[in-house]
Order: sequence, then structure tokens, then C-alpha cells
Amino acid sequence: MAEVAGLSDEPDERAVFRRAWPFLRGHRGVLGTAVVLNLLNGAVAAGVLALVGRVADAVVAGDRAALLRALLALAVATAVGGSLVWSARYWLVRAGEHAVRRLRDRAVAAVASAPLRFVEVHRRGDLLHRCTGEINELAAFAGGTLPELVTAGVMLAFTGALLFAYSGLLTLLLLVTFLPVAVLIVRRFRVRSGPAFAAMAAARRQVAGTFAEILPATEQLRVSGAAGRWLERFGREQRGLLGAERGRLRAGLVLHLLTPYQSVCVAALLVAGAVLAGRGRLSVGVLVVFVLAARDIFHRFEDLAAALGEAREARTYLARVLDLIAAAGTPATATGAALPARGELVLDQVTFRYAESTPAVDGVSLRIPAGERLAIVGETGSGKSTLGKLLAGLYPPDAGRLTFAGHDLTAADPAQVRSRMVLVPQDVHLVDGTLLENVTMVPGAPGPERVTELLDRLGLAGWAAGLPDGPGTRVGPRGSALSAGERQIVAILRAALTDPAVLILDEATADVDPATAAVLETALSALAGDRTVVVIAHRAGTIARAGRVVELSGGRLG
Amino acid sequence: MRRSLRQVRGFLLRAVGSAVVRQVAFLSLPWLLGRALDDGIRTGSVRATAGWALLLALAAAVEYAGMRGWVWYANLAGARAGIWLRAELLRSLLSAETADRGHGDLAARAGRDVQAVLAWVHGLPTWVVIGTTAVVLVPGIARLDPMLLLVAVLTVPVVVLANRLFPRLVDRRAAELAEAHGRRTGTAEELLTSMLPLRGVGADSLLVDRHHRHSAGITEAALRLARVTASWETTGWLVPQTAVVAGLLAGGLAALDGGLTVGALTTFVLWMGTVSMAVNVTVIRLGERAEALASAARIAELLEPSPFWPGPDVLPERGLLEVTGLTVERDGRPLIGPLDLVAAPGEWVVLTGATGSGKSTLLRAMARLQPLSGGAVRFGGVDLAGVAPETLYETLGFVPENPLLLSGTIGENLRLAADADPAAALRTAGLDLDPDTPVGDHGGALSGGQRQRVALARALLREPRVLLLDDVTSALDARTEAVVLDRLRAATRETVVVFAGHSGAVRDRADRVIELVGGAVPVRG
Repeated sequence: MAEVAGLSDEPDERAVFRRAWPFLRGHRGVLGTAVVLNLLNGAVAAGVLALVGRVADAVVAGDRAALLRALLALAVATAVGGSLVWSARYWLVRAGEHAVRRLRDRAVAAVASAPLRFVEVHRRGDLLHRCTGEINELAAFAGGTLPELVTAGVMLAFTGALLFAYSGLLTLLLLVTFLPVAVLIVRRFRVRSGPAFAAMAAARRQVAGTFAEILPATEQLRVSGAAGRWLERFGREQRGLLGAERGRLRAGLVLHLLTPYQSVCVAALLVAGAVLAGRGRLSVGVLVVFVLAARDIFHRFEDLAAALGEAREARTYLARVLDLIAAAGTPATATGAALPARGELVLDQVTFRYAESTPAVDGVSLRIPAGERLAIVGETGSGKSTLGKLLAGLYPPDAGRLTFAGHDLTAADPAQVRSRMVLVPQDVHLVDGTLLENVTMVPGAPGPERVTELLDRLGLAGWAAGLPDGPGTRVGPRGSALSAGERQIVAILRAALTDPAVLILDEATADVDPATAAVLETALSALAGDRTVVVIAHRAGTIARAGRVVELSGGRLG
Repeated sequence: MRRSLRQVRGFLLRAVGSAVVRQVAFLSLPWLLGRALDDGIRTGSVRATAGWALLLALAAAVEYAGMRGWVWYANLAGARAGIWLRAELLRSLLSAETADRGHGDLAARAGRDVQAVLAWVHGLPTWVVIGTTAVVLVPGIARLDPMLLLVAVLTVPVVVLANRLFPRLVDRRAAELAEAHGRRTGTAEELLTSMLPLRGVGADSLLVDRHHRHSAGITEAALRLARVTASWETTGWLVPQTAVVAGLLAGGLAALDGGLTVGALTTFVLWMGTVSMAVNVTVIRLGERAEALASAARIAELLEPSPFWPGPDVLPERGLLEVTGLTVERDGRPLIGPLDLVAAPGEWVVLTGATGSGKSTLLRAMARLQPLSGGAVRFGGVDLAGVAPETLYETLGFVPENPLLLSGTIGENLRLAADADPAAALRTAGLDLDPDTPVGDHGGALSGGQRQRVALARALLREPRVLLLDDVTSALDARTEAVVLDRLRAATRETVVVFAGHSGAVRDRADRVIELVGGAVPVRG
């Protein structure tokens, strides 16, 4: 069975930040600036608090000069604080966005270079969601929650330090009453939120997958009267989503217990403060600072804990994106020697299975000399297309060997293989843009004059000129403005712009009318020169133009 | 947006009630604290302090109860609004007669835009909280010292000014960011759908480059947005902070003259913190509102009300298919047609012609999947243009050349269309696969020919009176094709069949062949 790395629905989240760290490479200067600015921001905020205490003491002492001095300092600190709030936030967003950008580029590049089977076996909606929706959530996290989280953490540290400098005893009392219970509450929240958030993410993915899956098929659902039942199925999944949301909320409410408990702590602080003040060991100003700072600490702690929920979600997304990057695999580096420009293609006992069932291609041995015109025929489901993908080096054989000019294709540099073996499949989806853009989507970016010349030589100039804007005609999403046959013509034009050693046409003209196909195939054959052309077809005319015909039956050569 | 609110009114009202209780309890806390400082600590009475501290704890318990209700109902309201919107969106997409948009963009709409709207719904009770805060704090601060109220009130015009300036900026930047996300999502989707044809010619890296360009565009847009939100955030912090400094100056001097207590001053600073929080929350909610409005506008574009169909609810059991002067214009291309055709049940009409001659387009036009630029299609004398889709597709079946299936098994795909036993239909379509065979993503695990036959079986299962087939045997080998065509011919004795295709086997079985020439005027055969 073909080895395909699977994607995990709930991938390992341990050490996820360490694994993500390399994605910050090249942006650590930005990150450093962001850290420094945030630390400064925290220091100034603690200073503001201390100055308010000085104001209170001056009021109690009736010292007008001290009051004015403290207020002046407070005004200066406020002005500095303002500019720090701006730059701390901006630089943090900048660092986060750069990291996320690197992640999404890597994720898409990894999927683009993943083995073909990997892309085929995974639900397209799932791959798309990981590459788009989930990474976008990460971007939103980096732009919003992350700055909140960092600010809260920094503020907590600085305010705590300030309080300790004022009264170690009262700070300890605050810590002893507040922290254990608060940590308990947060931990209980974490235990309950873990599965709740995972269930939520799964339910969301399900809904998004069902939604995305339907988009290309809306017309067929309507025509086949299946819209109602599909809506019912979507409704069931949405109800599942609501259930998951309830679970997530219940877990979240645990965290809200922090709020009333904070007030209990302030009450305790007041009573202890009253005792200490009664013994003359505490000024009213210091107690005011404590009361103000305690609120501040609680709020920050709450921000921190709330952001932790989103951080948890972001961590899940991050793990899923890293899982995707890891599973899709890093592009293999060139190992084999450079492949010659032309050569003989040899299959030796090649076998390929899609699943643990009967092989789709079963022990096929075939020798295709350079420059041959070969047709592969066989009934529907006989394994012709699979053989085509094997010949193109898009599937690695499960058993047997496939060599080009004596080089094993599985060991060769994939980029080299792609430039030597070109495959044109039957189903062609185009990319939104003009016809010309789609045709020139080949390595080397050929200019429009080459396309014009090619259209002439393939006898397609009239067809192209007949389009609304000629070669500048927009093809619409997936090429929907063109017919299936016209999309096939685009794919053949693309292939003709490359210089492969082996050109594999898998029912590549099946949707083109016989007359046009005949002209096209004859011209293509002349254009191919000394290249090998392998045609997989069922149309008699196409087969007749081949030099040799082999028949495939049940995955075996007849 | 308004319609989605109607769906969740009950939840929102309960959320609002809870939120008001919570906010009143919450606002009483600083006042209780100030009293504790003045009555207890300054006088040195531990008993008095303990009394106020107990009241503080009680108020906190009330606050928590209110908070629970607020969070629970507000979130459920948001979630339900999202569910309603997604369902409506899907319903609209499924009933829209012509949908011609990038699918990645639509997926983004369902995701990001619905999320934005439900975040806004979820935040609605906050407005009542902000109102409650104003109602409680204005007399509260005035009782401490009218000067302090003046300071607090002076911040309001500044805040209002900022809120008139920033939302527009954020709105514009957020829309740019959403567009940038949409472009990248579209490219990522294209990369996944066009993987094989592109990789076949070694060109997948070109699309990856395009993706990376769009990705860089997101970063630029995100940073532009961050500059604006950071400025907004700074204003939100600086304004109340300046007010605290001014309040301390005024209040401190008053206290030196004996007009104000330290406890009252502390209450003021804490309340000013609440004012600052209310400002910040207003800022966030307004931002959400701006984003939600942009998203709601995009969603509303798709949510068209179901059209009115003047045609009958039931079409005749038997009748002639009459096509008169059918012409189609495709993206400004010259007209295809006109096509005139009358076919009786049991008759096979084959449309043939070169690639690009418009066979598929004409067939799609007959199936009402393509707008007509002239002519009409009638069945049993009824003009099909005015018939509701549910009625229309009871009578008329259409099988495209490259059908897509939905993930699940073959049987599940068939059951989506009809409950009837699929055995006969599968046999007619010549498919000898187990109905429990999974079809893979969009039918990718099946070959093109197998997909065509599943789609054919799906159409046969509904026993249509008119069957439009777009080259549905194109991916079959000659032997299988002949078998399928013969069985199909036998199974459609009561059905009008219009078959677009160029295979000889199809032409051989036709009662009539209409040849389309050069994409323009058909020569009648």
C-alpha cells in the first residue's frame, strides 16, 4: 500500500512553541524590540501606581508642595506611557504577523510539494481549512490576543514587585489568599476546557468542511433534488456545533469564579490593613496603593486567564498547522545524478495499491524506447490512469522499479523528474485569470509571442481568436467560463510549452470533438519530435495514431 | 443583520437583564471600598472595616450571578445567530440560479464573515452595560465632588471625537485585510483543486509564488490595521489617565482644604478606571461593529430572498419537450443557437458538434443552469422558466460531463437524491460497484467514468420525464459504452432524452441528430 502520512485531528501539542520557534528566524530583532518596549510599558504603568500612592499620602499629610511634585511626575509618566502603549502594541503585532506569515507560506508550500497521494487521500476541505481558516485564526490571535496576553503578564510582574517593595507582609497575605484559589480555579478551567475546546474545533471543522465541499457542487445538488437532504445534514452538524459551544461555555464559566473571589481578597486586605494601620505600621497612602494595585492585579490576572483560553485555541491551531507541515513533508533534496534530456523509460514489475485491496497496477513490466508513440488502452477502471501517474513519477511504486535512462525515478530530484515527465490529465481545473495566464503557467514563464506561435502550429489560432477577448479572455473560477474540452486544450497548450522527455496524455483530448482532436494530436505528435509520447485513450482515432498499442486489464498488461 | 437578531431575541433579552444586575453590583464595589477606607481604616476601627468588607463580599456574589447569565446567554445568542446565518447562506447558495464566484472566497465568507457577525451579536448586551455605567456614575461622581464630575464629563467629547475618527479608519483597514485574506484563500483553494494538471507540467511552484505574494499582502494590510488600532488603543488609555491626573489635582487640592476624603478620592480613581474600561469596551465593540457591518454586507449580497415562481406546482406527467428559438450568450461571446426542437417521450435527440460549438451550453440552458438570451423551453405546454426549482427538477434530470460527487459512499450519494432502491438504476448505468464503496473527496477515489455512471444512476433514480445528458459516456471504453447506452435506451422508453456528444455509438442510437456548427447557427438534421 502506498505510504501516505496521515493528518491527526488532535495532534500532539507538547513543545509546540519550541517547534514553532524556527519560524521566527530572521525576525528576532523585531521580537526583541517588541519585548523591550513591553517591559518599559510595564515599568511606567507600575510607576504611575506608585505616584498615585504618593498623592494620597500628601493629601493625608496636608503637604501641598509634595502633592504638586507627585502630580507633576504623574503627568510626565502619563505622557511617556501613552507613546509606550502605542509602540509596545504595534511591535508585538508586527513580530506575530511575521511569524504567522512564515507559517502560512510554509504550510502552503508543504502541501504544494507533498506527494500527490497525500493531497488525494485527505478531504480537500480539511486541507484547505488548515491552510486558510486555522492559520487566519492564528493571525487574528497574533494581532489581538497575543498583545493582551503579553501586556497582562508584564503588568502583573511589575505591579507585584512594586507592592512587595511597599509592604512584604501585606503582599504575602495577598498572595497567600489569592494565588492558591485562583490557580485552582484556572487549573480546573484548563482540565475542563481541554476536551471542550477540542470538541469545539472538531465541530467547527466539520461544519466548515461540509460547507466548503458543497460549493463546487451546488448546481448538481439542485438538479438532482438533493439540496433538501444536504441542508438537513448541515443542520445536524450545526446542532452538534451548538452542543460543543455549550460545553465550551460551561468550562469558561469556571473561570468567572475568579471575579467574586477577588472581592473576598480585597475585603480580607482591608481588614488586615485596618489591623496594621491601627498599630501604626501602615500609612493610608500605602493601603490605597494596595487597594488600587490589587484591583489592577486581579484584572490583569483575569485578562491573562481569559487570554489563556484563546491561547489554548491558538496552540491547537498552531499544532495542527505544524502537523500539516510535518505530514506533508519537506521537499526532498536532489540526491540522484542529473537526468539526461532524452532516454528510455523502463517499468520492471511495478505494482501500486490505493488501499489494502487488490492492486490497481499489478506487476507491470514495460519498455518504452525514447521517441516512441505508445498508446495504453483498457476498460474503465483497468488502472490506465494509475499507470499514467506512475509513469509520470507522481506516484512512487509500492513494488518494482521505474527507471528513466537507467536512473531510478524514486531516487531522483523531484524537480528534475517534473521537467522530464509531463502529464496532462483528463479533468483540468484552471486558475482564475486570463487564458494566456493559464497557458503560460509553466516553468520558465514563456512570453505571449510563443503562445501565439504555438496556437498557429496546433491549428488553434481560430479558436483562440473566437473567444470574447482572445487570449486575454478571463476563464472564471476553476475555468468555468470554458467548456471541459476547451480546458483540456489549455492543458495541452501548457504541456506543449515545456520540453519534456516523456509526454503522457491521459484522456487529454477525450472532451475535445474528434475533428479538433485529430488536428491537435497530429500537430502535437509532429511538435514532439524525438520526445516519447504516451497516450492513454479509448477513442479509436486517437489510438490509431499511436505507433504501438498495449492493453491493460485488471491492472495487468494483456 | 437585523433578521439574524430576530432569531435570538430571547437570549439577548436574558443576557441584557443579567448584565444590568451584574453592572450595578460591580459599580457599587468602589463606593463600598471608599467607605471602608474612611469609616474603618482612617478611624482605626477594625469592626467598622469588617462590616463594610462583608457588604463588599455580598455585592461580589451578586455580581457573579449576573455575570454567569450574561456570559451564557450572550454566547448562545451569538452561536445561534451564526448557525442561522450559515444555514441561510447555504440555502441561498443551493437555490441561487447562477452562482459564479470563487469558491475559496465563499468559504472565507462562511468562516470569517459569519464569525464577525456573531461576535457582534455576542457583544450587543455590552451596550446596555455601558448605558448602566453612565446612569450610575454620573450622580455618583457628582456626589463626591462636582469638580470631579466636570473632569469625567470633559473626557466624553474627546472620546466621542476619537470614536468618530477611528471606526472609519479601522473599517477601511479591516476591509482591506479581509480582502487580502480572501485573495490568499482563493489562491490556496486553486492550488488544491488544480494540483494535478499543474504538477503534471511542473508548474505548481508558480501558483505557490502567487500565494506568497498574496500572503505578503496580508502582512502589509495587517500592519496598516495594527497602526490604526494601536493609535486607537493609546487614545483609549491616555484620555481617562489624563482625567485621573486632572481629577487628582482638583480632588487633592479640595482635600487639602478639607472638602474631600481620601476614601472618596480612591473611589473616584477606581470609578475613573471603570470609565476607562467602558471607553475601551466601547472602542472594541465599535470596532467589532465596523467589521460586522462589512461582513454582514458581504453576506447579505448572497442572501437573496427566494424568488416568486408564477409557474404551476406540478408539471404534467407526460408531454412534449418543446424548445423554440433557444439562444444563449456566453460572456459576451456571439449567440449560440437559435435551437428549435420538439421531442416526444421515448425519443432520443443527439446534439453534436465541434468543441466550443456550444453543445454543453445549450443543454445547460435547457436545464435552466444558464440564462437564456432568447427563446423558451416548454414541457407539456408549460414554460419551464417560471417553475420553482423543486418542481422543475422533479421532471427534468441533467447529468454533466464531469460530475462531482460528495464524500461518503455511492449509496449515500444516491440517497441524497431519492429513497428508491438504487439497484435497477445502478444496473442501467452499468456500474457494478458495491453501493458501500466510498467515493472520496468530490468522488476523487472513483475514475471519471465511474463518477459519470454514479451521476447517471442518481438522475435515473428520480425517474425524470426529460433527461439531459452531457456526453455522459465520454470516459467509458467502447464496450462499456455500448452496454450502458443500450440499457439506457431501454430504461428511457417514457422519457425525452437530449444527449450532447460526439461518439459514434451515441449517434447510432439517436432518433435524430442535430449538428451545431461553429458555435453559431445549428443545421437541423
